[in-house]
Amino acid sequence: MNANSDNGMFESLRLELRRGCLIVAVLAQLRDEHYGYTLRKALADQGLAIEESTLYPLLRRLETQGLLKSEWREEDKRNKRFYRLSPEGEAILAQLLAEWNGINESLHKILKDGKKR
Amino acid sequence: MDLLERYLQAVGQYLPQETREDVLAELRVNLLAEMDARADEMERPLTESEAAAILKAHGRPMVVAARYLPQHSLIGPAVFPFYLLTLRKGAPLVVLIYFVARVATFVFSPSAGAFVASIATSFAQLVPVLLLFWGAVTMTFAILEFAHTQTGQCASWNAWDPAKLPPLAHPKKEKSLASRIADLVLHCLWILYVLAVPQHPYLILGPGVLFLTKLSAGFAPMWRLFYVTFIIVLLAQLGIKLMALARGNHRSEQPLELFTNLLGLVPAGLLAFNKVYFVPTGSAANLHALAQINYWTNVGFRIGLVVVVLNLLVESWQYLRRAVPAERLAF
Repeated sequence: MNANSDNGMFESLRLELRRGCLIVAVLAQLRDEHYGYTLRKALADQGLAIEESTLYPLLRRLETQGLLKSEWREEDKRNKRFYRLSPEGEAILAQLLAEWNGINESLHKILKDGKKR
Repeated sequence: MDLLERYLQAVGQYLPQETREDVLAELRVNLLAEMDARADEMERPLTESEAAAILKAHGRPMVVAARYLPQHSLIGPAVFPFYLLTLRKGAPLVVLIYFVARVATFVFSPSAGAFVASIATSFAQLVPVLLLFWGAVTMTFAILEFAHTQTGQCASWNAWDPAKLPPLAHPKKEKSLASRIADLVLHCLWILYVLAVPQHPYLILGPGVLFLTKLSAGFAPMWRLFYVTFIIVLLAQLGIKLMALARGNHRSEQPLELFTNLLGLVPAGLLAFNKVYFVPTGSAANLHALAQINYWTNVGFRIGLVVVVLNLLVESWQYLRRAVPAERLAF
């Protein structure tokens, strides 16, 4: 296996790992109201950069699923669409975070056991 | 900002009318905010090429629009394994049915030339038949996928009973030494029998020899050529059996056996392509009866050739399945 295929495989696994986490991160960040660009910036500032072409359609999908609610409002002389977590989204986020913590704990245990051997 | 409007127009071309305006308005605000932030960083308005770089990073219009559309797949991951299994199991069956259906054409084709042409046509026509099979299976599974996504029911796909699993397969046992020796002896006896046939034709034809004499008919010259090629094939098989016995290794025997079976097509082809097997030996010969005998003998040999070819195809496929890793044979 050469370096190129190694990189390709890592990239594919990394994307797979990130895919689920991104949704949790977006839902968590939208406990505060944001429009597309500021949400992307807020996530990037915390170390989680997401491509615009991934994030913006994701927001609409999450809204269609009822996890987000949105409203058009004027700000700085521009009409912007602001998103916020819906009550249903809050419930789902709580469940996802519990699941995430469970996975995280298990993974830490596995890694700790691996080190002991 | 002409470039931004052109970009949005291009994205809009691929969006459904009902959501187009809304999506484009949101995209416009986000891209403008991005451009403003970049201009603030640089403390000057963006040049055309800098704005173009932002749009380029955002993505090709068609791809960007596609991400706003509902995600559909023709055959999704829940149904795909069944689709693949149907293709893998069904394709050999379709090929078999197709060739069996063509046998009548092979057997009753009027001349050897037409016979060869018929085989060539059959192989050429197999391609559209397989394409049709693939298309029909794909369409059926696409409909099933559609129904599956509409109803969200997948219970019947996952319903299975472990008790119905096939029993454990036992690896094929190698032939014992005694059985290989017995096989060799039988083969030698078979060669002796064949060698005795020219002096004693009744060994093959039985009471048919008397019938030929009664008809004032004898063997056509083609039998000499057939006989020589047949003996060569038998001797090649004898060589392989001796070699396998001497090496005590059965592994190399099978491809060589396949090769001699392929050689066996030569005498079988000679029989099938010839039309005159028996010729009159006197003026009292019943030419009409002789013509009938030649015709039906030819039909019999053609059927035999088809059986030999099909058998060879099956044996080759079985050998390839064992010898070549499954993923290389999968389609």
